Amino acid sequence: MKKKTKKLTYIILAVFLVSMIVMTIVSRIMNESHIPIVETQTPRSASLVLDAIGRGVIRLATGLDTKVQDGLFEKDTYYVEGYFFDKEYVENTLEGSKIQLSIDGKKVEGTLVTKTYNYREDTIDVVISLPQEKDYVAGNEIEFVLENTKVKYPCCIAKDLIYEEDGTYYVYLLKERESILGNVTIAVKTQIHIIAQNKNAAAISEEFGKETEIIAKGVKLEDGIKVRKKEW
Amino acid sequence: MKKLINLCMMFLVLLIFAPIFITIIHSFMGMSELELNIGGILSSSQKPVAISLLPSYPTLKNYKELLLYSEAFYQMFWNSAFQSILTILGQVIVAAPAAFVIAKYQFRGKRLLFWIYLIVMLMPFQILMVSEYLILKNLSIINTHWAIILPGIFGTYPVFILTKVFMNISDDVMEAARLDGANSLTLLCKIVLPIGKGGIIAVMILDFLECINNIETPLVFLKDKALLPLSLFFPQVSIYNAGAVFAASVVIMLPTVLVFIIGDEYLETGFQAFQIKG
Repeated sequence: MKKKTKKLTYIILAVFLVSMIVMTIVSRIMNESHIPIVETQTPRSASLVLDAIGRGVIRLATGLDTKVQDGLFEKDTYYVEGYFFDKEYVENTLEGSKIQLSIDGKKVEGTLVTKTYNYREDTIDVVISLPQEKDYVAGNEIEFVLENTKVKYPCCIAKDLIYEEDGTYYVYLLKERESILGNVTIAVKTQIHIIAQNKNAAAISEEFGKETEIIAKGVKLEDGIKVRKKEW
Repeated sequence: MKKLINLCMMFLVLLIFAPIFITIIHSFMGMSELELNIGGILSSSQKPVAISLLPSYPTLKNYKELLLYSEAFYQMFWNSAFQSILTILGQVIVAAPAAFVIAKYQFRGKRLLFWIYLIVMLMPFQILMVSEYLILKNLSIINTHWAIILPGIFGTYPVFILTKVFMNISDDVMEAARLDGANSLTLLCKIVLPIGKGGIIAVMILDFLECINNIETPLVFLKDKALLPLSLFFPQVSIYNAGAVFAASVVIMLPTVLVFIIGDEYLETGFQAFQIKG
């Protein structure tokens, strides 16, 4: 082979090696500047303040009514017989608590008289007394709300952390993964199932440990991208 | 007739270059085009595989992704470089004296020793894997660069090749040097190594290729991903990084080709060593 070609080959090889050194440094700088810095929150067991919704029917107490015979109501008084599906919502509610009822679009405040667990339907059956100055229509179906009931859940997270996509909910968890560059922290898209929620927080069925870190919104995230946790 | 043979030969040459051609072409394709062409191989879909002669929308995106954002590529490249350089240097330091002794000294069991070298050289890695693993574990160097370098240094085929190279060195030259008072070390350094330079460089080039292509040893002896060589960058191919993998293949092809261009005449010398003396 000609000496010139060989010399050129040596030069190309040297240039290749030098550019590999330079590019190693450049790629490190580029990667460092592209890694989003994220804040995280941890899930915790908490009591959520929720509104329990129930359904029932307005009844007019007659002389034959057991509730009159038991001395719960006087004859010819209106009351509501109904149920709550979410039994854990009303578990800690004491008899005598106030309940907001919606009757013909008007708000009425009733009082919880009895609550019993219905094993067959898996509901909490309730009897609510009504203020007697109103005119009611016996047999009308109504909805009522037990406001500000506290329910304890093992895993609650702030609603700000939750993303929604086509009706499914997910969060980004901060996880450490072994990679070619050593241990790196990445964002892992994880589906969650909301079992209860209020304005600020949601209880989820997933059992995340206390050490789980959920990435807060504010940076554009994708499943598997490298992130760096904000140091305080 | 001659033209027909030439055409056939040309076709065969093109066939040999087809994988390289495909790699280069695919390195300039975008993800959607790659998915269209080779999506059937890389995903569970049953799409047919298509080979395009030219990319429909040529792009340098794969090279940009690889060279600017793929830190792992550089990490693995330098791992490969470190492991290869130390292995090659170590092999020459160990193999040259061993080959010199086998080629130029007479001692009992020499033939047996050479046969043992030959037998170990012909053994596939899978046979020696467990015993090598146990030795390296006892030396506490599993999951370090040395788990790749040490077995490489004590590889047998450089001894085999260099023995053949040194056998071709005239005994008269050796005798003349001995008469001038040269000891074994002087003979090795001043006579054998300079004369056998071509063979040694040929061994280094072949070693370089073996180190660059080494897959089994790192897979078995390295657990820490941060130590993996570049040869294991390529098996991590999926439809999402196929473009970058093709680009990496092209980039890494460059030093291999350059080393071959530099060392082609030495490779010829090395292969000449196998010729039977008349």
